[in-house]
Amino acid sequence: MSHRSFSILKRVITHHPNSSHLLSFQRSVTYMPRPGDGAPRPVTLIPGDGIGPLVTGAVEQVMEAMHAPVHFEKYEVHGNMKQVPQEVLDSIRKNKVCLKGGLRTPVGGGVSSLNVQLRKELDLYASLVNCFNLPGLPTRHENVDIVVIRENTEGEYSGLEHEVVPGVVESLKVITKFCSERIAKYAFEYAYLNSRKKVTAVHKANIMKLADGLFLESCREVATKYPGIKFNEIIVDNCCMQLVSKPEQFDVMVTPNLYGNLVANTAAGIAGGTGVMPGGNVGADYAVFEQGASAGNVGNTNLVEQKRANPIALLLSSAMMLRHLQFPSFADRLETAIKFVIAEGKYRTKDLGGDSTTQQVVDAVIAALD
Amino acid sequence: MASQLVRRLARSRLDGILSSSSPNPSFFNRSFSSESNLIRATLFPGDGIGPEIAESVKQVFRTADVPIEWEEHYVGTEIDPRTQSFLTWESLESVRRNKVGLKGPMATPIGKGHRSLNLTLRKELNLYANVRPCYSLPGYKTKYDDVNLVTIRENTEGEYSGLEHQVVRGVVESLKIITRQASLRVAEYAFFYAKAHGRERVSAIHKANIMQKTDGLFLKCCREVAEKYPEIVYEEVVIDNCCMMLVKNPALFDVLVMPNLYGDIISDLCAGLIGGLGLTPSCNIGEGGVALAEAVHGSAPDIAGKNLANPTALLLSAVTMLRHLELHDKADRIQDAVLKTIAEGKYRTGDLGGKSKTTEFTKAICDHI
Repeated sequence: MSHRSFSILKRVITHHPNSSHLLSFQRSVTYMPRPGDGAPRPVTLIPGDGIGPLVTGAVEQVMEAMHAPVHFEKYEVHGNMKQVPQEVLDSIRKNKVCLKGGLRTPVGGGVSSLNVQLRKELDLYASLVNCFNLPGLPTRHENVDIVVIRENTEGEYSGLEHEVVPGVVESLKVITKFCSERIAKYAFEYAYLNSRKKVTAVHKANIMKLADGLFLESCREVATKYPGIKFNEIIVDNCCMQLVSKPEQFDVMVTPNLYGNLVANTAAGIAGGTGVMPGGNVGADYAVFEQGASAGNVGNTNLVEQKRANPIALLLSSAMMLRHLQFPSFADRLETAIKFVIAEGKYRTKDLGGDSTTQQVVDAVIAALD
Repeated sequence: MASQLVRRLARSRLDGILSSSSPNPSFFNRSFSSESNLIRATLFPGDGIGPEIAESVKQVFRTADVPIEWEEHYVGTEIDPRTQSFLTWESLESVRRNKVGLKGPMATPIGKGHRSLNLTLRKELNLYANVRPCYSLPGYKTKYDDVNLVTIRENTEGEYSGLEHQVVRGVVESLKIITRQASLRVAEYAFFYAKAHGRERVSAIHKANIMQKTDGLFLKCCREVAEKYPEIVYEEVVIDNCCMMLVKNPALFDVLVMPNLYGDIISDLCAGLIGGLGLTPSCNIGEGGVALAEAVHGSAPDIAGKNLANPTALLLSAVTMLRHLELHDKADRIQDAVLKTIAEGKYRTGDLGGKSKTTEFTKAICDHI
């Protein structure tokens, strides 16, 4: 598809940082919209907690500067609320697309995580994180291009815990064939539509024979329907070991809920950090885009006060959102500008080794838009 | 199942009341022999490359004059009904008596009707904590050079309780159990280890924002123990943050204490950071001060008997065993010799990129002592 050739072209050309302007004159594949596709689409925006408002503000500024055909409906949601407000859910159901910052869940506070609640309410059963090396950003590992697809609704995050007797607590991990099958189907479909070659299932079925065994069985069944895509399985502890030594062997990874969290954060860490990896949650009807891996998406008080949060992850996720809304050319412009800014290296936030503020990075991205 | 847990809890509470309420934890309820007496230790050479690397260890210990007398036990060829596995009752009694042991890689025989060997050891000896010191080996370059941390993993409960069942067709439930007793036990050991080895920080790894009651209980126990050790800095880190920080900057961590599943994944991740399971030492701590050091790599049947195996993991595990026995000067000498041999690079086995044989590598270490 045109997207793939665009990204290939981009990767070739953006090795030369000054050539981002060349791309707009060398577009060889055109996208044919339907009349009326240019009408501004409403998107629900949830700034969230901590650095959330800072980075969503960054996205708003960049969208404004690009004159992108999206307008945001902002809703305030905070992590210590008992549940996600009904009006927010209604808005997302109407708009079908949402962009959100992180929601801080109080640890051990008896409030169930609003992030998890949102995913369950809207049945966003697949969480996707794309971890890749950004050109120009030095990391310990090269050739990383991993997409972690994680089951988002059940598994260890079922929230079913109880105290059996004082001092003994049980937590239920639920795995169903229905959910395992649909996440496996999504993973293979993603691989097929994005020309990926290999899907790896991550599990611990040698110990949790029934639970992860069921997950694996579902993956194997779906694999038979996609003979062109290679399928293999790896145990989660070996997987983490391989990720830190030879990450180039992984392509698309499909995992149950908890392992997905760990693997996504590890993969994001080796490829440059969670401040730059895009991602989102998608279901049959709705899509919510946010910073890919969950570590650090609320930040700490220092980052908030000094306004030094990294907006790149949310900006790249918003580019994914633009593509999801079928505005590919805006998505490409944004991605090119971001990659140019990172490759140039002058404006990078602290987690990437620089010391710019959020606003400086945003201004640089806006300036790099052609 | 719940009644079994209640019984176990009640029994242990009774034991706790009957035994002394002394401040010293039970890790030291044994008299160490003085340097002149020999300490008896059980040795399980294991399968595959096990016997060769066990021989290396014995040779190095002889050269270093370590006062240990080995009692060798092998995995039997038939199932012992008293233990329901291939390990005999005598072997287990030997470890219980000596309180100290070293285990090589064991291949679990395939088949039904018996428990896996590791499970047998763990349940019979009540090994509740798995300790893995991970430090970058100078001279063996990986992408990470500044790793110096210890992972302490709760080894008996958590997600690996093995309690699963199918509710209806297509729906499976797996139970994760966290008890106060087990969490306190491993937290006590973690802080004791940190103090004994001069470590400054203990980090508890959890996911209590999602699993509030289970990991919340684990954290509460860690906090209680932390109050008794005010000189050690205690912090709590969510597991996804931990993973990310470990791969970006492992120097941030010192001692990590965590429940079973996270411990499994994080300890293997840390092993990957320093070069793999072939170089990682490991030690299992049990009730009553039992310490069983082991090599966590596989038995490598393809290179067995060819004098190509790398004994580093078993040697470094033996060093952790010596440290547990408080033979710190011997431990330091052997550790330095191993590290120096690897750093020099002249004698390295195949998996480290060299061409030496096991015996040559061992001899080089002995020369360095």
